[in-house]
Amino acid sequence: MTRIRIRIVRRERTTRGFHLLLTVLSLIGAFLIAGVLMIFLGVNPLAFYSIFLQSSILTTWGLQITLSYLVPILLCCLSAIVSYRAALWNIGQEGQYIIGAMTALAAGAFLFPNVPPPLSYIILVLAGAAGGGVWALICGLLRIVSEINEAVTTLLMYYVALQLLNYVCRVAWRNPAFVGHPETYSLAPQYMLSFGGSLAIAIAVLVITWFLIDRTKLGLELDLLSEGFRVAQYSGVKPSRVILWSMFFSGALAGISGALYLASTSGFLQPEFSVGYGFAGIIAAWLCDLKVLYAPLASFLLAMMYSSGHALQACLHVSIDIIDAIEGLILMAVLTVHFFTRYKIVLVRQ
Amino acid sequence: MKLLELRGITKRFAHTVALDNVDFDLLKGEVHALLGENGAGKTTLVSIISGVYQPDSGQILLEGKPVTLKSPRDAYRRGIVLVPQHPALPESLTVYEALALFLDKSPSRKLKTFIEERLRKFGIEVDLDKRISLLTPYEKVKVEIAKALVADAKIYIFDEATSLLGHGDRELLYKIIRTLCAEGRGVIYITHRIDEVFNIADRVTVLRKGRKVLTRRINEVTREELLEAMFGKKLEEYAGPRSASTHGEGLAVENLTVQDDYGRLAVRNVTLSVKYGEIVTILAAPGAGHREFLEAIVGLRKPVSGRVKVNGIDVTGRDPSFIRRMGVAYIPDDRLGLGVAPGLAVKWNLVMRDLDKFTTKVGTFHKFLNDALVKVLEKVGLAPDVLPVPCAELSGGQIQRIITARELFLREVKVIVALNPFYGLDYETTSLLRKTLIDLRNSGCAILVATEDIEEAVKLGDRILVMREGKILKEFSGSTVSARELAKVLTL
Ligand SMILES: Nc1ncnc2c1ncn2[C@@H]1O[C@H](COP(=O)(O)OP(=O)(O)OP(=O)(O)O)[C@@H](O)[C@H]1O
Ligand SMILES: [Mg+2]
Repeated sequence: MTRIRIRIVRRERTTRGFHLLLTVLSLIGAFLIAGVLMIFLGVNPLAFYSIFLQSSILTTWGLQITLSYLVPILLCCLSAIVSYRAALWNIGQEGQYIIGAMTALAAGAFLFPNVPPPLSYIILVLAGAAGGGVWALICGLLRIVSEINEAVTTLLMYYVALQLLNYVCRVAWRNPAFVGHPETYSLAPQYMLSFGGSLAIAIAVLVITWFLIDRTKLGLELDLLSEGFRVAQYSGVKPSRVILWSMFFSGALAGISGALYLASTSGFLQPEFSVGYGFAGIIAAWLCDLKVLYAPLASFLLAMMYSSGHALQACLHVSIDIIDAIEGLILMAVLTVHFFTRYKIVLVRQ
Repeated sequence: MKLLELRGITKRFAHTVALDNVDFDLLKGEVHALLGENGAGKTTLVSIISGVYQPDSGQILLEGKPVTLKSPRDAYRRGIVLVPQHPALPESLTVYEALALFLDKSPSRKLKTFIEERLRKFGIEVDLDKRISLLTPYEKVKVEIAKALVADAKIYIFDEATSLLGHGDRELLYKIIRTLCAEGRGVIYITHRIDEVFNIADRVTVLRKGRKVLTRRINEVTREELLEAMFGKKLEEYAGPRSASTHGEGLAVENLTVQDDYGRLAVRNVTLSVKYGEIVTILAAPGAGHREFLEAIVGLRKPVSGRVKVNGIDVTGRDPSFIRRMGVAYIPDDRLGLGVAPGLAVKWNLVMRDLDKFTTKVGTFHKFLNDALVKVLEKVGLAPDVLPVPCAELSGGQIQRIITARELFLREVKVIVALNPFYGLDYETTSLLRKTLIDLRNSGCAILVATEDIEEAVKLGDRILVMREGKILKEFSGSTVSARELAKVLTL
């Protein structure tokens, strides 16, 4: 008698096209599951899909909102790519995003309030980069000096950043003009950016990052570090130097993300400033398989989720938390892709 | 009775057909040797037997019954163990923990006694309490052998296990294999040393480009027939002219003292010089300190005291890339741990040591890069289409060729330092590399080769130094000394 059994076996190698196809299929799967979720919530899945698309890309207004979310998510995605390529696990983009916004505010509201544009924009970006960069650099130093895993420190530093944000909103930089809700002073007006302006800066940063990571030896240095200290040293890469600059670079990108978001929205900080773009960026980074050129696409998808959240809540009366659920489903899709590029399921006749 | 039988095994990878309709079998109490040039498919075949890969088609019969081997664990449960070509051990565990994990038992005093007894029976000496991350490649091979032997298996597979072993260890392994066979087990034995086959095997199978070329009883085949089957042509051994004229000091080492990874003195106050136009070989048993000595010369290890000079310039304690830029090549034997970055494409593995030469001021890569790489690949007999392939997907010998190509041909080198450079290379590539080194010597390079292989030391060296316990014991002239004489000094 022959029995047919299902087995999971290792796949030796896959092509680019296969990877892409798998990604698309997994995402479709994620949204189908989201649709089923809607049925359980008593919502017509077709209504869900239509509102999701309308509120994120099919209307000008929606598209504009999506693009405004794209900027911080894309930059955090680049931040994740830069560190993960070196096998450094910076998961504290959210914290570096907060600190970047705070240093940008410090520069644009207190230190240099009278600088005219475009110099003001340069200061904005540099201040954000410096803040986020130093915040991540601390974790890089800890890694080198006492071998503390950066995944732990970057996450913990996020909570420190969150408390600092609370402190500046409620105490240090609190604007007494707002009674009730704690808010800080605002950026000087010449620091404020339009959505288009912040998008343009983000694209410039994307191009620079792409050039550095994919076209120069810096990318190779990251890859060599990820292959281990000994081979890195042999090939002339100083491991500690690469850890430091890549952590700084990674943190700087997340910091710029915070600075741009601050300058293109309210211009002041409030305790709710941290809404999870950093974490969305990490998901986007894995979704695009750590390829800088695909980062905009992956980030755009996550931005769509954010922009449709309120519309879904308003029109379908579902909780805004549904967005977290769908984000989780996308993460599952990423994991599915990773699984199926390494393993395949076969039927074995016994 | 047939312990194992493979029928019509085919295995394709993305770019290659690694095995094409291969038949193979193994009898009880027999040693079946597997020969073939680099990339012939030997490792792939034993990977299939030990459950690492699944064949695309074909059948595996174990004691007459068809089986599918899902994983190495599955193969182990059915009595098949493999000593892999490249040790793959859990770095963060101790040797004992790794063995326990492999046996699928939790550590206990009883288990430890069992393991110790088993290893004593075979005469294998390994320190069970050492952490694996601290072991040298040679020690890792020994642990892999120990790991296989603590298992009570029916089929033992050795994939180039002797490549890094010294003379004494090799003899020990032969003895062990004979014991295993006397107990009715079967052994599959992969090697590039043909003499070994005649010493130990009962039957031999030759693979070429994924196809089986022949299977014979060992007393029905000659060395020449085997070589011709492996390479598809007659080969002549290259014995280049000895000792060309020397001039100037290429490499000078003065009173060098170096520690190993445990902080013990591995090299004690060694002084040595290599002139331009001369090959000096250091002959040493594994663990004699030659590894640490070479690593200190090329900047991978900081010496405790002493000086290293390249072309008269003091480079003591400088980092590897600085010393590389001085025109020093270093061929290591720790292929996957040091020689290449396994996850990166061949292209990046080729340029990684000479980034200064192949990048512009802003760090972008030169346009002529690819042409240069294709040219050096040609010199080691590899096709340009391997450039985008990650090194992990190449055969052991192919990786060794990549390392050689990078170190010798991508930059003008004046001093060549090599540790077991012939490790894992097939017969033809070995003589090709020997010829290359001799040619480079004749064109004026200073060459220092440390090896554990007496024959290579004699064939190559203008001067031969024997090293033991971190000291140079004796010096011989390459033209007058015999292999037998050296063997005596080495095992003294
Ligand atoms: N995981 C893999 N993915 C893709 N190709 C592979 C993989 N493993 C092996 N190959 C290819 O299959 C062929 C056979 O390789 P294999 O390792 O079996 O050779 P080998 O006979 O053991 O050679 P060597 O003597 O150099 O160890 C080679 O061309 C190699 O590049
Ligand atoms: Mg092999």
